[in-house]
Amino acid sequence: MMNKLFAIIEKDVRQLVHSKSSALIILISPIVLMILAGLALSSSGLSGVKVGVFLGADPAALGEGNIGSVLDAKMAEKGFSVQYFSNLNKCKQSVKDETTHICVEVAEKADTNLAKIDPRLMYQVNFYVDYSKVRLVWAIVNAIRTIVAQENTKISTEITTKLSDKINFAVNEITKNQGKLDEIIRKGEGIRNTFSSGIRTLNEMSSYISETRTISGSVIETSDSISTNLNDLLSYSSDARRRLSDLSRLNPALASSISAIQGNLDSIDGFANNIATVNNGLEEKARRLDSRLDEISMNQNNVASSLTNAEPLLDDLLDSLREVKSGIDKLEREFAWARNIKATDIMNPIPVEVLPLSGEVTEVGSVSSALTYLDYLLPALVILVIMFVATLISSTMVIKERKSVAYFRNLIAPTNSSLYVVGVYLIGLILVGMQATLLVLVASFFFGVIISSYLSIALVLLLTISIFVLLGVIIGYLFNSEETTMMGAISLALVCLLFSALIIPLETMPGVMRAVAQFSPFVIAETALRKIMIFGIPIINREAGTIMMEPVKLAVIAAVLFAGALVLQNFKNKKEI
Amino acid sequence: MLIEIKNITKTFEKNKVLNDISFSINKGEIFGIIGQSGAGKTVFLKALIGFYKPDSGDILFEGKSVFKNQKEIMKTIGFASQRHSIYLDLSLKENLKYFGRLYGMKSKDIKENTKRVLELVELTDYTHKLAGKLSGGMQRRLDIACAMMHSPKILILDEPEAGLDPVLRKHIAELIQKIRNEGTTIILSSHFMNEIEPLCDRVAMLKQGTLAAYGSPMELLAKYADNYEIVIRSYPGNYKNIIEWLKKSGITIIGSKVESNRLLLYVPQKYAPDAYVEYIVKSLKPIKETLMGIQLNQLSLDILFERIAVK
Repeated sequence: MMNKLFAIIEKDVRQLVHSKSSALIILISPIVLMILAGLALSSSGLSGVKVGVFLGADPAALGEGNIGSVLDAKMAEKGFSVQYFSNLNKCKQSVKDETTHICVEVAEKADTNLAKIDPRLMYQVNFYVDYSKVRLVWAIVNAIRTIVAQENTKISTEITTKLSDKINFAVNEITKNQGKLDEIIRKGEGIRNTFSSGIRTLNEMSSYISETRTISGSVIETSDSISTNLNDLLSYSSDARRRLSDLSRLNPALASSISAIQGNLDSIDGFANNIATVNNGLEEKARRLDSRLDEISMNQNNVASSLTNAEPLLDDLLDSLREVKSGIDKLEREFAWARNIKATDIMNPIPVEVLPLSGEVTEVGSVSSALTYLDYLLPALVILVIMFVATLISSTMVIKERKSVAYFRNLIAPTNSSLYVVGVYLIGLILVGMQATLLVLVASFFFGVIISSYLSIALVLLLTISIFVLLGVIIGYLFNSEETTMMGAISLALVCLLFSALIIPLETMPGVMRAVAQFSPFVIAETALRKIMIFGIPIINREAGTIMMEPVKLAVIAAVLFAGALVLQNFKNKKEI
Repeated sequence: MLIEIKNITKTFEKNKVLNDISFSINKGEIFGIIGQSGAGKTVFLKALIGFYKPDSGDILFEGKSVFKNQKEIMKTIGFASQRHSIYLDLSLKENLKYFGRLYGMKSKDIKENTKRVLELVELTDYTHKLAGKLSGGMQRRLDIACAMMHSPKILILDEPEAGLDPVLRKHIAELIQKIRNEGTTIILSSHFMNEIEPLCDRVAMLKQGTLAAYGSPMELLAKYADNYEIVIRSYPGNYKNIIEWLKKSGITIIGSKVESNRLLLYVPQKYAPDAYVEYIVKSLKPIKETLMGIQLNQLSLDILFERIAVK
């Protein structure tokens, strides 16, 4: 039995080896596929895209650091081929003529006030696209929009930073001057108090002035009285002198005494005159004092009146100052939150970060570095290649065998016909297994894809290959010509591809389709491989006591398909004999 | 008696392909199955190896029913079909080894038999050549070698000479003789009686699924070939007039046909052959036919087949 089985396998291998082109295709195709996929997926994918740019009638007017020059530099970085146009229509026409893929216009905005903030705010970017090439258009638009968005963010960050700095400066200045304002208010209040005491003092001065005025009046009166008395004294002296002259004539003896008395009278007169002079001076001064007191009183009244008038003004001023202070305090409180705010916090208030789930899992898999896009795509890519190659190889092998002139001799040989199915299955398993191994190795060594849990991957791949090889066997027995078999295999693979998440997310499919897709071996295998390769989930988790259901489902499907293939082969053989 | 065919009838979709056929095949003989295309030869051969179970009847191989002991009996039968059942992408040795293994042969036997059958079919020089690179005749010989690989007791050849040129047919005929000389019973089918007549010990003629005749060529000729065939070529060749004229002259004409501008007349072996020729030469003058050629043949198995199986 085993000898016969090995004979069938050896025969198929030898046939392949003798047909060098087939052997080459089988061995080389996965490497070529993987290299192509790797190269395609590891590049940004838009190099060589031709972009037409119109920078307005006078590109020099845009100035340095404008969006035009930024676009130019960034697009060159991305490998875009940039072609400048002096005319917008020519730029648009180039898209219609397909000499460029998109026309980008850097247009001036109507609002000139923006230039005061930043000259770069003066421009906007318009895309002119051909929507018939919708996927390419979106890819280019997204790429250029990213460039513009980066520049937008840069400008916006700069302006916001400037604004934030100004706010910080204003708040600092307010804080700094709040003390001065307090001091002004304090001083104002001091002045107000001084004013009040001044008015009080002035009011007190009125009584002093009136007292002084009374004193000066009495001085004048006293002076007048002294003057009167002095006059009286002088008249008495003159009268006495006359009397003495009379006496002297009358009594010459008395002349010397009389002369002495007269001399004394002269001295008294002299004293009286001196006193009168002093008294006059005193009176004059008293009068002048009186006059000055009048002036003082008048001035005091004026000052008191002015101070009295100024007092409410000062109160108003103080009230205003207090209001200003209150306003500034409020301003300070309001702007306090903005004091240390970052421009990026305003620019991007709700930061969105996409974090890889796979990075969290390290205990089972050996995922240690960041996964690439190819890492995430590899499970689907491997299953895709396996699906196409396995169905095509096995279906082709079966139909070639059935259509082979030697087929009849196999049928008449005393060999269990199920061995042929097992033989095709095993040879398919070996060939596609080799391809899948090559695929994974190429991905791992040449493109740095991180592969972990080799045993689990091998098990899932084994089951997946089994399913698609057996599907290919069934197709090979179902159809009667190589052409229809090929069509059948490709159609089946395409249906599986359509009912997978590779083209449309399963979650967005209509309910019935989604339900059907859940049973697709492609979906099940891809899910299993993704869980193992990306998340490092083991097939059997002894600690948690769980088992991954996908490999079980795959095994059940493989068993059903194997039985189906045997039944179909038996039926077809009977029909063909 | 090696094989006994007992009243087998086979119907495909209301079409009776084999109808109550019975005969036997002896050990060591070359047995020919002859019949036109669609006469049921291939179906009969496939029934012989148990592939088509008849609606009724049985085929006994050494007394055992083929249909009840198919696996066992298949080991003793080699079959070479109309199309060469060989892998064109494998070398001769690889083909032989593969089919040897399918028949459960041991490595040693495979080695020995490969050498033996390649010598038998005279392809030893091409042992490692790919079968696809051989000529048509060589491929046919390789096919027979594959059928002989497991040393079957019976070799069934379905139209072995079909599509081959006369030289290759001769080679195949010689090969068949060689195989028979090794003691193998050979059953071959053909729709050319003249090709198998010299080879076969006995033949069975099939006509629309029924057994039209059966026996050795000599027996068949003795039984059915009691006529002469006269081939006439004349100018202007109004063969209808000739037939009428000969009938009026009193000659019994069993059958006639015009073929390749020649008139073929079948007459009973009542008179000597030269008497027929002389009479016909004379008879043509009055009806203004100039004789261009005349030939008288003793009836062959080929003509007999034509008469029995075709008409």
